[in-house]
Amino acid sequence: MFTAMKNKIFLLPIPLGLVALGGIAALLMYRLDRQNAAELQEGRTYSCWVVETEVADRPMSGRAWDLDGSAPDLMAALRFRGNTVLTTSVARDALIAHWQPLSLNLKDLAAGELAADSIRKVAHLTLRQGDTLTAAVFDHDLINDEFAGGFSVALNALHVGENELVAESEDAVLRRVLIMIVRADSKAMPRSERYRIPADQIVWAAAEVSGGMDKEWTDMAHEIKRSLREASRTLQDAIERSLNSPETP
Amino acid sequence: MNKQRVSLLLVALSCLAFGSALPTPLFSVHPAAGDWTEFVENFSPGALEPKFYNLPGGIAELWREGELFLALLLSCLSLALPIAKLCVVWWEAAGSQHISPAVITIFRASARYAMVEVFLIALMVLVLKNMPGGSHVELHVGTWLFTASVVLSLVATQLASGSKNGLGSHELGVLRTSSPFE
Repeated sequence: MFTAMKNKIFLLPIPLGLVALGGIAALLMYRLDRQNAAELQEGRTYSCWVVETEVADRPMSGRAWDLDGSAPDLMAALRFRGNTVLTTSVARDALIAHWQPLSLNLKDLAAGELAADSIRKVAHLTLRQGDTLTAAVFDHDLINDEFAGGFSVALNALHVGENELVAESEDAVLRRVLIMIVRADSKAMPRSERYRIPADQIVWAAAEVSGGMDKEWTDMAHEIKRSLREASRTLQDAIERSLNSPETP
Repeated sequence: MNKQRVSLLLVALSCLAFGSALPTPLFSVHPAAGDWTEFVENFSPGALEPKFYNLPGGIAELWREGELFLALLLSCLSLALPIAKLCVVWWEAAGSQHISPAVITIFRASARYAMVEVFLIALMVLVLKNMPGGSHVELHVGTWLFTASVVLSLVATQLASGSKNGLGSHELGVLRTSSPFE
């Protein structure tokens, strides 16, 4: 058989085929492995935060976002199992808001303490069957927080990495949300991986529902307003305590 | 099983190992900042993210950065040349009459430059193994597959050159001293 191979020129590309075969097999296995590693697993704790949101040029009313013609002051909130688990800071005058998962706890700072973990502003989640993650974006105003839009998504549809949720409707006020999920025991951010969540797995809430059609969204708006007032009071208290402290020069 | 069959089998395995090594990570760099690692991770998430490298990815990155010469050089030395040499060893082991002495001479001349990335990895590991702040390099399955490919092809070359059905004694000597991965 091998002697007969001598003059069979068609056998010559076999090494190329074997190299290609090995490459394709390894690539498929590697991709499968990475895909499995990116899926959220039950019982494991994950850190989650809103990285970016993008809203339309105009709110649903068609008027300018703010009275002075400036862009909205965007803030986002995440709700999990019926509770608000994360509220971002307010991104002033922005159609595209970007947030870092960091914040200084002024209460700790005023007390002269700063723990590394306390500066991470993230929500911690564990996956249970049927869990959903709800997000809402607001235009923060002194008088009223205007609901810009929101969505609910099954938690197991999300991945470790950047999850991009894009509204399909051209009329949507909330156009795009980017949510980052990392394993809680690893602070490294898998920046290179971005997953576009399929539209059929997202339930969008349009801006007009804040008028009372959907209680959850309006409750969320009230809760956020309350938490902002509390944060403001805490900050004021901390500053006053710091100024009245006998150690203050 | 005679030497020729074993030789062909080894070359086939070497080809598979080489192909498998291409998309898999060769090594990863894990940056650290000593006692400040946790602090840096908190203030700049992602700054200390481990980075994984594989051969085509490295070449593509060089190309994107405009280092065309380096990208072409690395493609030639690390991809084209080893694959071409595996083909030559296969043809020799199969006892093909289609390899001209000129081809053998070219591969003999270029043999010493093949698998240059193994040396680059070794250098990288040596340099980064003792970086301050706990930064370190970890080798991954791609490196072991490349190594397996090297060893298998070396043995295959030795067996092929000892086979009676191969090329002439002068050409066999050439192949013996110019393994695809030497």
